Amino acid sequence: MFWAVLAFKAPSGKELYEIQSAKAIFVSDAPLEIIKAENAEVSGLIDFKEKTFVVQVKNKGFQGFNSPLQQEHFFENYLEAHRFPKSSFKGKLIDPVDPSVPGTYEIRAKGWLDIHGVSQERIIKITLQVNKQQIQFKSAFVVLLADHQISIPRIVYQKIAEEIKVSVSGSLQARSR
Amino acid sequence: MKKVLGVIVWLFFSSLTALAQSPPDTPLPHYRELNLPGMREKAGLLHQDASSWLYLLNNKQLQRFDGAVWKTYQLPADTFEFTALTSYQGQVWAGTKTGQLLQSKGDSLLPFEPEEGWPRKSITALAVYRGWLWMATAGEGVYAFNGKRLFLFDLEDGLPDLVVSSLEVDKNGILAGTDLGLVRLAINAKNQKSVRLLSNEPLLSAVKSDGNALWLGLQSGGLALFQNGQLSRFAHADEDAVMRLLVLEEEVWFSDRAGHLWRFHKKTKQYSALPFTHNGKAIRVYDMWQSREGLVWISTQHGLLQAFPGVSTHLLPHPHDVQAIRILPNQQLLAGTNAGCYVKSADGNNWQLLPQTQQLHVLSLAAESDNSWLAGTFGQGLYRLQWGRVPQRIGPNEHRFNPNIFSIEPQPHGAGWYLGTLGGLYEYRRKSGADVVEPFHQQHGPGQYYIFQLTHDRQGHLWMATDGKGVFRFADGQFRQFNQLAQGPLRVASSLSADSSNRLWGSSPEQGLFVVENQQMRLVPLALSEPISFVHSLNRHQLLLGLQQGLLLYNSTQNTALPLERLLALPLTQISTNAYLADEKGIWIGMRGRLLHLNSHWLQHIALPRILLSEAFSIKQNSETPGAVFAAFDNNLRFDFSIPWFFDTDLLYVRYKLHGLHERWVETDKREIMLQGLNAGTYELEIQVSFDPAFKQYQSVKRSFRIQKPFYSQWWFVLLLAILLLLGAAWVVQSREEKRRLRQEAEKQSILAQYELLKNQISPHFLFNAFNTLSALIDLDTQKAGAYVEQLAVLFRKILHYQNHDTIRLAEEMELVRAYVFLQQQRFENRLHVSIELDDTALQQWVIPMSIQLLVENAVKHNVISQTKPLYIRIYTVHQHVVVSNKLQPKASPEPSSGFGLSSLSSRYQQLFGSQIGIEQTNEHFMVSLPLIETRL
Repeated sequence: MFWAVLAFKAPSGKELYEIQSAKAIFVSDAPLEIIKAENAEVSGLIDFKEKTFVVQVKNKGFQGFNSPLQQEHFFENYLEAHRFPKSSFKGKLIDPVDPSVPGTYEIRAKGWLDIHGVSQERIIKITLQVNKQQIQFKSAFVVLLADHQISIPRIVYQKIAEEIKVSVSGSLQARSR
Repeated sequence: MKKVLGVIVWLFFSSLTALAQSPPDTPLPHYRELNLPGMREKAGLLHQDASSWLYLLNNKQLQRFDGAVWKTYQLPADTFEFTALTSYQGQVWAGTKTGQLLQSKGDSLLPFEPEEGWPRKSITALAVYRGWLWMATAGEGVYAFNGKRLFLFDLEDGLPDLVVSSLEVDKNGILAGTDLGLVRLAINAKNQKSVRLLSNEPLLSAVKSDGNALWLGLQSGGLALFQNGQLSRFAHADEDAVMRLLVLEEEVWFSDRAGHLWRFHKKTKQYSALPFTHNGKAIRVYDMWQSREGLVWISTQHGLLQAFPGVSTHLLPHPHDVQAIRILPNQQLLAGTNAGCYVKSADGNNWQLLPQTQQLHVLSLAAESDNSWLAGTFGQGLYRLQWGRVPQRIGPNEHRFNPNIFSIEPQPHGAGWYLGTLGGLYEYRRKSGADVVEPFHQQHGPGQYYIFQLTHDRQGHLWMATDGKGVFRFADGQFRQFNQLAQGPLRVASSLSADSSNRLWGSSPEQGLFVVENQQMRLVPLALSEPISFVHSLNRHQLLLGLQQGLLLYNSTQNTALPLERLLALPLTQISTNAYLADEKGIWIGMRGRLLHLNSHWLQHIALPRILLSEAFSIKQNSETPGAVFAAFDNNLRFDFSIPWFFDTDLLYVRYKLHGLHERWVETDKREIMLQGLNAGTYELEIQVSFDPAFKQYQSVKRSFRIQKPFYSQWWFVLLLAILLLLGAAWVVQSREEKRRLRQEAEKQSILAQYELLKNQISPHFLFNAFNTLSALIDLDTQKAGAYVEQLAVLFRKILHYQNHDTIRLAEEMELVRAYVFLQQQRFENRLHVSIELDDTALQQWVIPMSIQLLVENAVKHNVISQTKPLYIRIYTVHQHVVVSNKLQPKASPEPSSGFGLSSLSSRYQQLFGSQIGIEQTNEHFMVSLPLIETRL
């Protein structure tokens, strides 16, 4: 939360950007079943001057499971969306980005990835495409369920992967003030 | 009680003298240049891994050295500027100025990148601690990587600065030197990071631990010591940043950015340059590494240097023979030579001759007080030496004593001194202000025999080495002689040394090394080319044996003796019997013009190296595991091994034996073994390394492997072959049988074909006659013609019926014959007589269809049948044959005949039944007999 506050606190000129639209996708590629879901309820802020950021996803926003029952299980048993309504990643950018200079930036962000109420420190690679009007971003990383204390019952071992591939992409818009 | 206390007090004092401090001056450590033929690139980063292999990395090459062989790794095509080198999880890892990390794989160094990416800033240091690879960067903090997780320590974690220039592992964890202070880093079992600021001394460029203290190299030049939370800085005239730092026992060595090498003495806190050269040229240090063996490797622009900080040389101003050495309580070092006595003061670096001593031939020395020393001479008596005074001869008093004083040892309670002379044992005491020297002659003592050396053991007993009487011990007021050896009495003992295990070691010029243990004396067999001049016990296992021209490091448990001068490439000359002295760190050895100091801790590291046997190579496979199996024709093997040993490799004896093939050991100086054309079998390769050509003590390594039998002698192949042969034989037999059956079938077919043909042949000929007869009968006798047609029909029906039969019953054939005869009788009327004389048994047997009919037809065809000469045909049986016989009355002009009929019939019987038909012609008769077949074909 600290970084989130920081991010809101220091909006300086055109350095503060907000996620305009984004989607988060997760893929569980288990031996017996591939589960894929998308979420458009992604919000976040990046302050390129302070190099701080926060991104969060509404857990209930995931759509596109193989069945409505599966979605229900996902919300209730694994993500426990009623207890932990949001997943987030917040921290600092390791590498600098100048939003006034168009181009492609490959940067790394170090922060706390909070899923299922368990925070893990992570370094995640992000690709930024800076255009004149807006900034496109995309990122892909792997989440180990064990790291976030999401345990899989044995009976569904073959259906849910231990490593979940997550990708997030979208666009950022400068926040005018 | 008082006595015991006295001994303890005496022990305390004597140990104080024995543990006198070594002089603080800084003589040059011994070092040598390594000009190695296999070394391609000279300057580079140095690292030694857990196997002791030394790695040298620069922008062109990664090389590995085991003391004998260089191995070169492949580098990627891109050029990297390497900044750090370490080994982690059995591989070599290198960091670059642009943030890449490279990892060794096989014979190559390849870039490695985790999913999270690597820094964009220069990697400044690499270290391994608790399974994590730690990486310091110039601008991003410190990364820790364990193969799964990558953590970054940065400002948020409490790191004072992102520019981190050094890492160090001490017993408490990992330390990082940043531009704004020194921190201790940790990751706990729950993957939680912690950073603790130890010191905020800025701009640290190097950190090295020293027990509980830390030495810090500063970017502004010079060192600082961090101890008990306190930091002390030591200003250095050289303000260049400290680059590489090594902490040795008494000194700290460091290089600066310009490559100059410096040392700092921990006690005197003084800096001085280390004037190492390479081929006479001043060196520029690239990197330094301190090995577990106590060696220091220095990579320079000209090549590698090997320094031995445990060995230092102190040069005297004159090349006199040093024959006695003493360290005085005030840390002064005293060296007695054949031409005077030299003193090296605690604060000075120069040796000074004690005034007016150059006439003295000093053999022994002792400290009487802080500024008064005793010198025993060769033929000149005993002298008292004092700084600033003329040497003072002690005695002779009323007891004239022998002026050749080889040894001086203190008496208990500071009462006085024992003097070992060429006239026996004396004691010197000060009695009411006067110096008194008296003989110490007692019963059972050495009497007036020469005493070459006196020494004390750990219990305070005095031992004497005599010329002619062996060894004496003086304990509790009693002398005891030790000279009983299994080989005869010990005569001359020249040197003695007691060890910590209550053993007394000694040397005899004639009989070599001996030991007194549990009151027993025995010789220690050692094959030496020259007599031992002194023996000195270093520790429980090691003895130093002084020879005239060398030093042996003798290991009493392994019974190996290593020549130190070769081991360390030391120039040794003229070592005198008394010219050695132990201090708390090691041993001083005097020789011509100089003194050598050997660190005994350091000498303990010299042990037999391990053999590292890597892969076994054949043409088709590389195998690192024991019990590898090689194919029968892949039987040319190469085994590579390595013996990390960085002293003189000529001291190592290496041999190998292939158990299962070799009868004897094969000696080798190579580091590979070629085994060619091995036969099938199980083998075990054993390699041994020893300091001793007889291999009494050795390190060995074994590797078993197997060469498979060729496929043709494998059990499965033999079995398979047997099965195949059996199958093959069965197949041959079967196919021959089959062929025979087929041939028979074919023959039968052809016969049947011939038979068919024959049957077809019969029909037209017969028909012609039959129709002629019929046409005649129609006119003559219509009733008969009707019967004729009827019989003709019977005949043809039968022929048609039997056409497809191979055999028919004789009865059936006879019906056919009767029909035929009836037809012919219509033509020939009573001129043709056929009598059929067959019984029922014969009629039930089998014949070829139309065979008898053919014979009857032949008879009709070839004989005259006239009113006058009617033809009589008889059909009867004889011996299982049916015989058709007719009166022989051949036609004058025989009817044209194919001649086919009879011979065809004959061959048919031959082929179908293997039986002959009988043809017999007499003047009167023509007879054909057909065998009767009992069963149907």
